[in-house]
Amino acid sequence: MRQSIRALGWAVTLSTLILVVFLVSTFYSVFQLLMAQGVGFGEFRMSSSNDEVTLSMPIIVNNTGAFDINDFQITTTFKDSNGFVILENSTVIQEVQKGQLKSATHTLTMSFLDILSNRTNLLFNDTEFKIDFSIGFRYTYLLGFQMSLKNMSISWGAPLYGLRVTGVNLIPINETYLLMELQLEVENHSFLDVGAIFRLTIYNENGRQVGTGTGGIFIPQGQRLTTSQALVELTDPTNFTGRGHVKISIEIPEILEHYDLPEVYYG
Amino acid sequence: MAEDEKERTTRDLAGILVPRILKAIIMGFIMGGEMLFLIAFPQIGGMLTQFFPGESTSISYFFLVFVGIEVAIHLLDGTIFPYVLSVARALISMYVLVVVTNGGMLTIPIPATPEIPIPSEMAVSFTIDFREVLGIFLMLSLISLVKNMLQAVDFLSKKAEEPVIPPELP
Repeated sequence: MRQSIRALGWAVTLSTLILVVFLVSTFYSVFQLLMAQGVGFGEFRMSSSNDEVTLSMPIIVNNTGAFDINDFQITTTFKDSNGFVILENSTVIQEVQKGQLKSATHTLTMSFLDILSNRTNLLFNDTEFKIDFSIGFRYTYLLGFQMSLKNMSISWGAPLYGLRVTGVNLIPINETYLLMELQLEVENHSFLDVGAIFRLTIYNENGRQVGTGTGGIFIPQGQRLTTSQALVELTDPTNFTGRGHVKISIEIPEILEHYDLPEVYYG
Repeated sequence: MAEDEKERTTRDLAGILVPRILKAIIMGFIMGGEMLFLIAFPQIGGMLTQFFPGESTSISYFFLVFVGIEVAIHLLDGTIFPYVLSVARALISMYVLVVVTNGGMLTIPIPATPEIPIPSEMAVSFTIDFREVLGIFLMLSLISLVKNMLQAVDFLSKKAEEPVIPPELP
């Protein structure tokens, strides 16, 4: 029995020793890999189309270590100012064997439809988005390493920043139609051009609806707009007194169905 | 005559106890005493708390317990208690290993430095996942625990086999 116990003791000691030596060599190998820039990033690129922006970054993994790299993963998470995830993308390289070099491209495609749907405030207010970035891999199938960068800020410029109709001016065309000039305050802080449609409902001073109209605006990126025009049809010309108020709503196809602006008085 | 016998008994006792005490002190120092000296230095104690959860005082208590057990094992040599204490030490070390390593997932926050300027709202961290390695260590601790229990059983069986000489027989 004593011999068995002694053998068991030696087995435990030897196993512990081997495990410690293995761990030390693994950590040293990882350290060497990172110091020799075994993981490298290429030039960051951004491209945009009609309603999409694509961010891409090439990745190079050069495994100069003593063991294989598994499940090499880069994850980017895009969140709004409240912390809700807007979109997330991961790029995975399954295996990079010892002495091997592999590359991949990590992309993040942002559609404005995805960003702005259910987030009306982003149309009118500048804010900040948060980006979480993590890079991780498994080494020797036993150890996992991960580097995380959380809450990197990226500014968001509102396409219709500070939109306000400060006044209206009605110019009769004939007995049925009027031209409405709207005085606006709006700036496009985003990096895309934006267009929107005004829907107008005209009331006389007694609160009776007398007409409807439609107008549009187009603001190139980085520009301001101070006036716009709309064509108004008088549905009840006899009750049009030249004084009253206008209810204005705005819509952007596929993004914003209907958004009411404050009423404006005329006359 | 009786005084000579008393002096011989005291000398015999000292001959047994002194080497045992010396051995207990040396082994206690090897098995955790040196860490208590190092933790007393603020730089090292602070570094340990940065990497492992818990304050430096709890890390000190941890090493104190281990030193105490090691000293007790060597002082009580020849009894069943070293084996009991070894089992207790194995259990404690398993529990502490899991707690100190946070279950095998260590997250180290990287602070901002002049070389690495990090904005205040950003958080950079480095995570090491070694749960499988922790599992292997726990298994080896379990085998060590079983070994200590077998040694205790072997000790008890040898004690049971020893002939009992009644005091009246020469």
